Amino acid sequence: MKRTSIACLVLGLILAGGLFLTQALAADKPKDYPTKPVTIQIGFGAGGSSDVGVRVLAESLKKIIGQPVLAENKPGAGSQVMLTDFKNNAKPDGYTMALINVPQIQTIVFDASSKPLFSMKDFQPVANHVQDPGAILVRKESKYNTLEDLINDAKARPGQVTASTTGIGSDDHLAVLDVERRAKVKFNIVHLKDTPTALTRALGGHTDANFDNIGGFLPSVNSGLARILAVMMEQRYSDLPNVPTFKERGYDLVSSSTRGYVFPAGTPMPIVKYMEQSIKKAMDDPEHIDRMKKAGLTLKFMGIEEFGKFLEGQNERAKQLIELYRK
Amino acid sequence: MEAFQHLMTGFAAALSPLNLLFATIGCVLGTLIGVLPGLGPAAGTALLIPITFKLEPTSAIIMLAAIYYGAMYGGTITSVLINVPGEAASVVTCLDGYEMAKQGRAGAALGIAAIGSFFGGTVATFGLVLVALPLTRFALKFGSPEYFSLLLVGLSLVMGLAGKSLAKALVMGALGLIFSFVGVDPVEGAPRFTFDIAPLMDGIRFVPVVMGFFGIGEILINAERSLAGVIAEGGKVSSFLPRRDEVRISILSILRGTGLGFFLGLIPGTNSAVASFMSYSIERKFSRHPDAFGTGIIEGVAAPETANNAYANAALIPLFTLGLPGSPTIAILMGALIMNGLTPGPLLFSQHAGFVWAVIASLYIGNLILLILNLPLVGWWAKLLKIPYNILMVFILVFCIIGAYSLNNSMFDVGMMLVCGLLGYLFKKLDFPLAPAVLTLILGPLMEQSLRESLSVSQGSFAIFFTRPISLFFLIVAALIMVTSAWQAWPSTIREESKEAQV
Repeated sequence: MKRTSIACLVLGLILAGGLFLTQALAADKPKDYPTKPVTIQIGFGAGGSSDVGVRVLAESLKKIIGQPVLAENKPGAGSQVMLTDFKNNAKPDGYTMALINVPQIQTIVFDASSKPLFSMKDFQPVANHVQDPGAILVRKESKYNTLEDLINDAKARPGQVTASTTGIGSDDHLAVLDVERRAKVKFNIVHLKDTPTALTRALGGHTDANFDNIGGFLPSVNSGLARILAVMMEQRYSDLPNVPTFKERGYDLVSSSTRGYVFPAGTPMPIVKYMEQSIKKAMDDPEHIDRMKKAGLTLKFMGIEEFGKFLEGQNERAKQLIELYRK
Repeated sequence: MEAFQHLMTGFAAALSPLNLLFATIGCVLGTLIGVLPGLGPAAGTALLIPITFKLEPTSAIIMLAAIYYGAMYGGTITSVLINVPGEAASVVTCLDGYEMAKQGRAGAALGIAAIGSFFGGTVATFGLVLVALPLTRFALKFGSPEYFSLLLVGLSLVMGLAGKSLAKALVMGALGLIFSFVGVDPVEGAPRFTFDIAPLMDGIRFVPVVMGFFGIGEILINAERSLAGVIAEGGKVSSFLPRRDEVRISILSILRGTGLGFFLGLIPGTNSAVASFMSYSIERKFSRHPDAFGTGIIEGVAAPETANNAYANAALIPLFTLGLPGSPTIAILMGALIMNGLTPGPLLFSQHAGFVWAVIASLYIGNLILLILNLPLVGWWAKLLKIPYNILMVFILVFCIIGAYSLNNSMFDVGMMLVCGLLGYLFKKLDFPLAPAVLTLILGPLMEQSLRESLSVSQGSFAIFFTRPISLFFLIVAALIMVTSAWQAWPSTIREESKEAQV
């Protein structure tokens, strides 16, 4: 009997010591957080690339924060339904995060005709996760071999060359407008429903140039059905070393679909910082890196400050470009 | 035949005990997902993607594909038994399937659906082997104008869904189109008829509407009557096999359904609900007794069920050969392929031949598993109807509410379903058929999108629809259907005594 109780005591001490040790290791861990599952709200349906990114992150993040991470889809109106609900109902307690898609959120907030019930001030940036660069795709039979071919043709036939986007106010739409204003050309802009539709129309030769993001392009490019004329990044894309950037060709143009996480404004800073660090660790998890690469999603970590600055820059760009299509 | 050699290797892989197990698990899960209203095949498949990280790619895709076509079949079960379509493609099955159930013939309806699905799925998979590449090249010729004209053919078939009165069918068709205008304009981005209600920005969602129209509406109608006789006892509910004469009638319907579903599956961008609706309307056109549709006749179940499964399998063709997902569920499947390091497209067949052929072989096996699984179960499902209706009714209501909520985690959808339930009840009382409204609600957004895309490409000229041969062909077909339907409808509006149950 006695021996058992001693054994119990020793075991208890070891456990307590272990507990203390883990507490000490996670020094920046706020007290009593997290004690229950964290939910990430997604403004798009299950299975889309926004959704896939969150679900892959959730797998790694739960190991780091020691609590389940749940992905909840509230699709509708290009994430406006979710953001409205998030602003009205999410408590600033660190248990509800939202995935925001940039610059889509800006085209909701700064476009009066979308009647937003929230502003950028309602969200506390936590960390950025994904950055899918914009690019232009043409099918393999296309007469355009370089970016210049496309621009010159658009100059020669103003308003005749069809450029497809995946919807009004999408990052692709802003990218077309940005190309138009920087190259001084005019496209015939056709807004299509989504990436598969845009790809189908481009491969069938029904549109001339498909403006979208690299992630959705890679399958058709890798199988030789189509090629990319240029990417809208600061540097060349690592998997496409032969494809030039717009900057190299003399156009000051960087565009992407960027996705990061926000808490409701007013969430205590220790919690925000802890979550920022946890997301960083999750993004360094080799399993996470591998899965995201396979899913064609380019990782781009930005911390609280950097993500906040990035959002402000995007606010300005979106305001200017919205002006171009809402005048 | 090189293809068949590959196929045999594929069978060897697909028949390994582990892959057989995953195909079976997928079929069971898929059936369950189809049975739960709300949780459609797309959401169901997406939720299971994380599981596939842990599996070998071939097994993972075999399982996901099985979930996909399993759900297609599962949706039929609730449509037939309780008039609640679990997903869009099985709405049409309510029309005659539920009537059959009321006559105590639920078993036969589910049986013929299983047989038709098996046949349609298997033939479409054969098509996948034989003609995949040349046909997808053809499908790429479909630009926006071709879509629009094809959808116009679908719209002209609304007349085929008319019951006693063509006028009432057209009114309901127009109502569905008006409903489909609600939401953010797909081209300009301006909100229409949204009254500043955020959930309306995306338009009126289809599934809550049909669950209300059919499921809730039916409950309300039944609540008026004595509940005892809603569902006939039926001699042998458990005998799941259709009568011999019914099988004979169904053979042609199944063949037509297969052809139509296969064709539509090849063209990325349509959906399985369009396939099932069109095949139902076509059956009515071909039938010698079109007035009997909607009263519980077997062709009304056999054709659309076959078409939607043929569609489901054929839709894999553009995915495998060109990397083009034709529907949301296929898009999710494509995501799973990519995440497992398999890029869909022409190179898939050369670079990952072992994988592709194993998956194709598993489609045959999966269709067979579904048949084996479902035929004996049909009797059990049908036994559900032995529950007294006054108790069953409460369960159906709860089931619908949970289903509507689970669609988007939104109470708005629940409210929408209940309001549509009231509307459905009123329309039934007034003898307005519901099916035309449902068809136009599906077609409306697709047609608007393709119409405006075409006009935006042509910069406003309608000539684009007439100068392209495929588009012109469909326009002529649509015109022919409209003229003949009007011709047929004329005398039948006078023949008031022709008794026919409204949809």
